Amino acid sequence: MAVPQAGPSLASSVSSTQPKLPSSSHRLPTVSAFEALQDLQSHGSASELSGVRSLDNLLQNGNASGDGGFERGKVTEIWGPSGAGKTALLLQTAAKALMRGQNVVWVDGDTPLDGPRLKSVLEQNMASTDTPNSNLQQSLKRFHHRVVPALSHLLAMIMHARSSFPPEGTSLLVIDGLNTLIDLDYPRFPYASLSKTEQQRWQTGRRYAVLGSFVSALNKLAVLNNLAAIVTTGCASRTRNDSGLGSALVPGVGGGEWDAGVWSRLAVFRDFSGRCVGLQKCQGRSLISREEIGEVGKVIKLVATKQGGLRERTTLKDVEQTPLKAISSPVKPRKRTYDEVADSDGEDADEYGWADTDEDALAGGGPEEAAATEQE
Amino acid sequence: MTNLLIVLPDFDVKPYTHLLPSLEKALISTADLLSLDAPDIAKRAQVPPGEVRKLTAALIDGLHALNHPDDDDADDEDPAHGKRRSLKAAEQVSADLEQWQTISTLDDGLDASLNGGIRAGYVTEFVGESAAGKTQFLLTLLLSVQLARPLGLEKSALYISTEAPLQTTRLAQILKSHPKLSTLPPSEQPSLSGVQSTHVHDLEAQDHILRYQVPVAIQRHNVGLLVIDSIAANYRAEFDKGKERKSAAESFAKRSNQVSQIGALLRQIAQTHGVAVVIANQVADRFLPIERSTSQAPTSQMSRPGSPPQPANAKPVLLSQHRPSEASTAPSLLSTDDPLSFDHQQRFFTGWGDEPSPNLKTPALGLTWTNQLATRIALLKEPVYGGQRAVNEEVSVSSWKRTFKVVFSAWCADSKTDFEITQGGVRAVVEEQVDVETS
Repeated sequence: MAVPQAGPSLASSVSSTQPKLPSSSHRLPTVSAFEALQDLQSHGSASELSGVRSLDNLLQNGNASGDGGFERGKVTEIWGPSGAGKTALLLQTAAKALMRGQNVVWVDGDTPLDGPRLKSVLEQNMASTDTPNSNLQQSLKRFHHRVVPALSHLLAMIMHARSSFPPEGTSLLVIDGLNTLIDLDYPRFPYASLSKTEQQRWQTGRRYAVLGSFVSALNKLAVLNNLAAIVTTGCASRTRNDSGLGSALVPGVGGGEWDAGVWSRLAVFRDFSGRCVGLQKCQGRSLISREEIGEVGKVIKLVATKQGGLRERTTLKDVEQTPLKAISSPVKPRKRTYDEVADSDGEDADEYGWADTDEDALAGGGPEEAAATEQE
Repeated sequence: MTNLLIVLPDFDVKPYTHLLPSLEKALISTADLLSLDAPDIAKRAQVPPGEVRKLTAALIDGLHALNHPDDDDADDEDPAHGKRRSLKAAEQVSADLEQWQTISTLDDGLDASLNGGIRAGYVTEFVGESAAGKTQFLLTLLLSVQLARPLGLEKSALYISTEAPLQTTRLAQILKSHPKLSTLPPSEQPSLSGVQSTHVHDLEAQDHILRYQVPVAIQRHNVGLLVIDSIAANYRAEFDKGKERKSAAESFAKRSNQVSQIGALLRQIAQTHGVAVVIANQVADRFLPIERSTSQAPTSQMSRPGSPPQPANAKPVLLSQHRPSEASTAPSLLSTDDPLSFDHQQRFFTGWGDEPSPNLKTPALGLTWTNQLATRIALLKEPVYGGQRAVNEEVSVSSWKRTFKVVFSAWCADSKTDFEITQGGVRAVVEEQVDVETS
């Protein structure tokens, strides 16, 4: 299926002149490898910074290209109990994206975003980088806010997205509060009793199927528009009977397909001395095992600032973050190449001239014995 | 499909009436229509796929008109216009960045900790023991919503009680004795006629009133504040025992669903009508897990001690001090080895437990209800033992130390303020500066 405006418009850059494909298109726009490489070198950041340096570094985890942060074209999940700091962290990320001149789309699932709060976070970020205040109004114009009353609205917005959504130049799409929307339409245990009709059983499985289709549609939207999609959810509790501990908090949405579609996962939670962010899944690889409920992965400590942002907590002791240790396998001897491996096929059986002398002596085992002695 | 008209109230169902009963029988909801292919739905519900496609397309068009009201193509058609109106009210509260709609608590210290007061458009909870002061706050808000901006919204209030009826004598007393209210000229003073009140006895009546009668009352009486005192009372009688055939788990799951439906209803009321929804909630006692002796001597080999040691009366510091500092990063940054355990985390989102105190409480209705809230304000009450204590004498409580604690909020930072209840309402306790003479 040929993309109509394929030829000259893709030459300059992928993200800015992205041809708007109809939502039923199954192909991504194609670019030649040379253009893609040029684009990568010229365009700079392929990710959205969160404003917390070590978090950005952790998210990128040694990926040389880019400054770190939430990767574009991928879906990140941030979960945590109420009041932990998920919205605060995302407001900071959105403020940085707005200051760079990009659009941000913020979709609220349960609690609508407080206007003055966004403004104060934006002001704080501008003050710290000495940007003139006249940009405040323009930055606010680039912030697109939507409130979705129910899951169906969100599904229509993302899975059957209009061609004009998201607006041009959007680099960040935030969906704040997904689990309340899902729980209303597809509660986790609608029919706990054993006797279920076939339709009831089908409906029980719909929750995970809908989550799976939603995350793949979100991934597609993120890739086609080159934006970072971030979803926040609240938490649910799950008992841990096997390890003998009490119940633990788990993300409010889950399921195999959902987990597979999420590129990184952060857990934001509170502790006595501040807030913490635990990185549980990074670069598509899970840092904690699936069976361990309640593990946090790598942790960074944060402190809430007065204006509503989050910054890293500086401790008196220098707490080092140990990098992820790759377990190195023991050093193996260098493998011999194909030519080096001794093989009897191509060799002359008569290399040492034993065949002549042996032929008389032995009855019928000449060539085999000669090959066996040469192998040593 | 039972929620089709809830999702899109103005949707025209006449062309599809032949489809809807079959879809309902097959338990296909609106979200299923949007996420499944038409042939799958047609097979399940035994309806023609072409009709399903038409219904889905009409549904998507209607939802797009609601989601993106300021797009060009939504302007011309009439059916889109009515839908836009309802969402516009919601967007006005949230997207209008210059507007500031708060209801003051009529005390400067408390208002400062709330960034102005209780914000309209959100669901706020006041939780505390009995006689902690919840009703005093609610009564004050019932009066201050009637004041002119910036203290109030110049609108009336609606009070729904589930246990005791509205205390009109106390309301009149606050009106007469509060320093800020009594000094106002009579034309600007709030009055008791600006407060509508009703009483609900059980859960079904509560649901019916919230769903059908409250929106009408809000528009008829120009209501700016909806108070429910208290939300947990009607749940206790209904779901505690459960019926004989159902197991406890099933009734618990049913209750959680009910709580989240109520929460969604309250949020929707708050957002579409721009009212502040304030809920009072009760508490239950919380018991700490027994401290195990092994957790006192942590070694670096242990990945999970039993339960996190509870600092019952000591300061909550830090397991990391006992632990030899090693390359292990996670335990040395956090205070416990099990940071995501429910018991540990509920110290922070309930309001009780992040300080050493023998008196721990948990708000009723659990984690599901906590997830519905935008703001939680906990009113803590600690006894202050006073007087000299002889050997045989019992300790008497001389007064109460009351704390107004913002546990989490969508519009302000967490804080704690001491307050006291007076004849005129509530007011923050201002600590007097004592000048220390230095030589």
